[in-house]
Amino acid sequence: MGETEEVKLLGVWFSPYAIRPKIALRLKSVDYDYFEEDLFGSKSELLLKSNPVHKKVPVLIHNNKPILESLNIVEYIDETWNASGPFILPSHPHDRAQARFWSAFVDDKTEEVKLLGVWFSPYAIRPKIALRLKSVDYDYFEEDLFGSKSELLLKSNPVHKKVPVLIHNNKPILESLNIVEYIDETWNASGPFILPSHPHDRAQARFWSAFVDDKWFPALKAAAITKSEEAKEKGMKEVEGGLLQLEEAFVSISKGNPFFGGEAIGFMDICLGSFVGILKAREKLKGEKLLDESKIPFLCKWANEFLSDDTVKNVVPEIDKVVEFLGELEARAQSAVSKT
Amino acid sequence: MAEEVILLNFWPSMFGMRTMIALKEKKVKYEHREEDLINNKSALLLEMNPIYKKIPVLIHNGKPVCESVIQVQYIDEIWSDKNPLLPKDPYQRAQALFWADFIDKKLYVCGRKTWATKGEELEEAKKEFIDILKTLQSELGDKPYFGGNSFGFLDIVLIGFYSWFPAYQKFGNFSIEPESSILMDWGKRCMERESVATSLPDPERIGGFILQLKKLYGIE
Repeated sequence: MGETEEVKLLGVWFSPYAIRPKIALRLKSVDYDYFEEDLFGSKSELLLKSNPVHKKVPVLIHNNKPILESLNIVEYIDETWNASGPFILPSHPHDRAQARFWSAFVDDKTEEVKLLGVWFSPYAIRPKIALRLKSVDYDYFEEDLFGSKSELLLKSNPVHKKVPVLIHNNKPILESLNIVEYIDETWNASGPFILPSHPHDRAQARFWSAFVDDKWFPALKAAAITKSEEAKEKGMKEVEGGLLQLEEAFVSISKGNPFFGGEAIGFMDICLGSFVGILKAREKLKGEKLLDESKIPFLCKWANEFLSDDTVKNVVPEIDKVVEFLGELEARAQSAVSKT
Repeated sequence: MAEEVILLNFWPSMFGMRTMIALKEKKVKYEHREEDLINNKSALLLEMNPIYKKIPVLIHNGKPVCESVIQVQYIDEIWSDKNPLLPKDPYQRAQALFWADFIDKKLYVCGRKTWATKGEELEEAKKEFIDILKTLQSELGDKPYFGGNSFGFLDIVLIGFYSWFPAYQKFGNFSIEPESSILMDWGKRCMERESVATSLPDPERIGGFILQLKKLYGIE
């Protein structure tokens, strides 16, 4: 009697995007043939032919014409089978505009971004700054420093069980500097660029951040912990020497600008800047003046600029809180020693 | 009944150009308000687009509509009596929306890289950019406009980028000409329309704007 409409839907059982056309087709009581794509295997010929540009599901094929993008498909279904079933889109243009706005928001903005950190950790501060620079919304989970590690942490970082961990759409990214680079590349259409644009400058930024993380801060940590006066003195000399080298690097990289990154904070600023709070706290607690204006005037100025930057100042913990915390850490270390 | 139509815009935005062109095609009277995005977003912008705080924002009788593609669809639906912008056929409409999404996700990001990156990343971006133009060109085919014989939705979505092409080439130090001559002809054809010619800025000004952006972001 009537024409037989040929309606095919290519999907993947688990995909929320593929669920959308299924619901729409059901609402309109449209019969269709469903083809399940192999999630981990190779894409079917039909998929490659009907969506050569993106090679993704869902794809609706109506009388041999492919329709792509789940929300487009739902609108198409609503318009094509408009004589049956309820209307899917609202009837008033303003309400439609609103519906489209919020569905675009759902698809583009509600990326699931979680950050596991510890308030005090300079390493955890780094991704916080980066996410803020890119205006990315995220859920923050504070790990219990002295307690047991959360299940989420153990699951996402089974090798090192350390923070920070960034979980983006269920994929964990580890190591603070890796996370910052990942954030820079993933949210590349918004906000300033974090890494420098020229490959040579990038290599320089990575070199100096490796220096900070692999040489400089470990030396400071070791000097802070050691009981031997000799080792402490030697260690602190190394830390001061490192700061002199960083001062030189700053002068040559910043070229008169307030930050390593130029006029705005960049990768190197985030890397070294995440330790400024600790340096200032140690000065208050121990009288240890590492940020000495007479020795490293440019870095001292930079440190203050960094802390007063709009993005940074809402992210780094207050110096007094850090002082209190460092004191507590020390007390715990002492009592641990006296117990043995 | 008095319709109040306000457009919050920023002159270099290829997205704002879309809404402007759509309003002009429909001969809608509107008030244009220029936002100073670099220094100071207006209270009205922050109130009308609290989610993204971005332009363009179309305010129709006090109610905001955000996101340029959504605005063009809205304009087409409200002022539906003249000059239809989107195709009538649902399939062609779905196609048009697909390509609009492609342009937003691919062309915009890649274009940005031509002035904001250097070295290997820039070289890759330049190759990708030309590939994207070739893809769009094959979608155009031998039609005068993307929609067919009349200027429509997809032409409106893409044409704003035409004012940025010279700057992309200048800063990226490359030419798109030989591979994209058909697309360039399409661009010139669109520029003959008053709605387009009065909405696109002089490409030289775009160059100056990019220099400002580079300074702001600390890019050399």
